[in-house]
Amino acid sequence: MKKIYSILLPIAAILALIGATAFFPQTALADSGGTGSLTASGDGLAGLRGQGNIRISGNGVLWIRDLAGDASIQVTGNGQRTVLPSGWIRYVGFQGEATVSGSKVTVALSGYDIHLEASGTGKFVLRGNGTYQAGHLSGSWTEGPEIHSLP
Amino acid sequence: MSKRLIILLLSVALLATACARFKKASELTTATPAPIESITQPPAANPTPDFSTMTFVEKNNLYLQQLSDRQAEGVDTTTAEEVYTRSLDATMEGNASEADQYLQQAILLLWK
Repeated sequence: MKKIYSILLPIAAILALIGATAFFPQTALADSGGTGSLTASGDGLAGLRGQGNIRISGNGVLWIRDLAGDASIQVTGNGQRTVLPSGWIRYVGFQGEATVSGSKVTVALSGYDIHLEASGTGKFVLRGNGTYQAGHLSGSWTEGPEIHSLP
Repeated sequence: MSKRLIILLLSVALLATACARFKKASELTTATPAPIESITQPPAANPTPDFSTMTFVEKNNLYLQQLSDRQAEGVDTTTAEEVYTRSLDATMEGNASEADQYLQQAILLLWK
């Protein structure tokens, strides 16, 4: 009986490990995504993750995260800047424009009168009221957080 | 003669006791109730928003407005902002339920 357990236990452990690896939930916004350009305008929340150049303007709270540590970040206008332990750089009371480029960046603006221009590789979410043009495709911002790839 | 006197005295004592008890009971039942005006009413609380009827933009604008108001009052908004960061992370991962849950929680943390 002990011999059976000593054989079955390692097999069960290996199977559990394989299962956990295979079925671990992947984040919807992985580093991959399409390559192309995006322009968008609206109210709500505009966010983009990937590599390339992003120019965003508007009013509200601006969020920037540089995961690779190679980003160029230029922010003009008003806003109280805070660097959070999670790596986010946050501008509260933001009213202005930010230009960000890097190999692994996330930029998001929550507020109103948002204008976004981006080119590169990645994915984006546009939540609220507004319109966008991604390559030859055009669409509207959505009520829920729908993830789109750059075309 | 003395036996009769003792019985008489005991009867008088019992009668006096009964009368005293009856008087006390009637005083309790006829006590005047406290006036309603004297009860202190708690201040009416600002009702929390009905999130089920609000769009994302309405909720998001409400958060931004509350954040601005509380910061103008000098209130520490760190906790609410941390919760909103979780909402942002969930949004960027396409997790609608978690994003909304954290957004509503952030609003309530700032709500007065």
